[in-house]
Amino acid sequence: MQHDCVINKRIDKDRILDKTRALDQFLAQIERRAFKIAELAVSNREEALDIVQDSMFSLVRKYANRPPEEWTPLFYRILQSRIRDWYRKNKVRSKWMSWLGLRKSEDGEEMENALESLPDPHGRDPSQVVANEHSMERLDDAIQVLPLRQQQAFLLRTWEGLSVADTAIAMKCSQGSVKTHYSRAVHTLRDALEEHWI
Amino acid sequence: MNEKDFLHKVRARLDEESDHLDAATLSKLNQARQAALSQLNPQTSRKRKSWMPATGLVAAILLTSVFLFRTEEIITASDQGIDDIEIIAASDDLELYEQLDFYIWIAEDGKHAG
Repeated sequence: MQHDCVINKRIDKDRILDKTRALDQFLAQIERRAFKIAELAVSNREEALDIVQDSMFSLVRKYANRPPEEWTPLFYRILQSRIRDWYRKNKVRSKWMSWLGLRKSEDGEEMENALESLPDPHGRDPSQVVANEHSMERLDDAIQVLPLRQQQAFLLRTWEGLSVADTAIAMKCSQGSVKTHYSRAVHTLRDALEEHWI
Repeated sequence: MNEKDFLHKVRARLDEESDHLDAATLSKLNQARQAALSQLNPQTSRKRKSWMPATGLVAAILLTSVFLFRTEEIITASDQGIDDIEIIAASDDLELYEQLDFYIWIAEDGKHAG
């Protein structure tokens, strides 16, 4: 009886170790791209690191027992959700700032519309972006200028290599929306970058 | 450039960027990963849980002390404030308060003389 208990404990320990190793490997492999995606979205290194850390915590806490093939869309779903939260908080903060008279008044646009449209934190336009000299910076800038949903669809599909279905899970939207956002993003980026890259 | 080549180039540049993240960022990502994974270790989480009530108690004591100390300060300060306000708001001449010691001495002297 006691022997069985010891064996069970050892099996549990091994199971936890295996899961920890698998998750460690998964997170190590995904963390750099996740950080870059978050940084492109919020344009702030520290905020991006916080967002990635929160996402890692959530994945481990909630989904460690799910099959490893589900981790990628789940992780990106959490990451996207954290990024949207960041935008909402910023929107609320800027509303308060505007109410307190510390900043110019915003246009009062609906929050979801604001997320769908252009939330470029630097307020730049594409002509400024094209003026950048380095192609790497130019690429970052062109991606940052994209509307958030297009940016996410583009990065998840092109860079992370997620399928349309997994991207839809990560973005909490339909597959049709993913295709539309992705296609618009590719079109805009080709317009902004292609002539500089030939 | 066709779309496939364009996307290939985008991927290559993004990969290059993420492969060359600075050491500080890589270290923070590593720390974040280890911290997240520590949730799976029952010993670490149990250890953390056993510390939680003690930490909470210490925090509560600290907060209460700070609150009481501040309240005392505020009451003392407001008592003084009330005295000052009473003097300023009184219709008596301020000079009366300035000479108060003298008038008290006169009154006491008068009593003794009487």
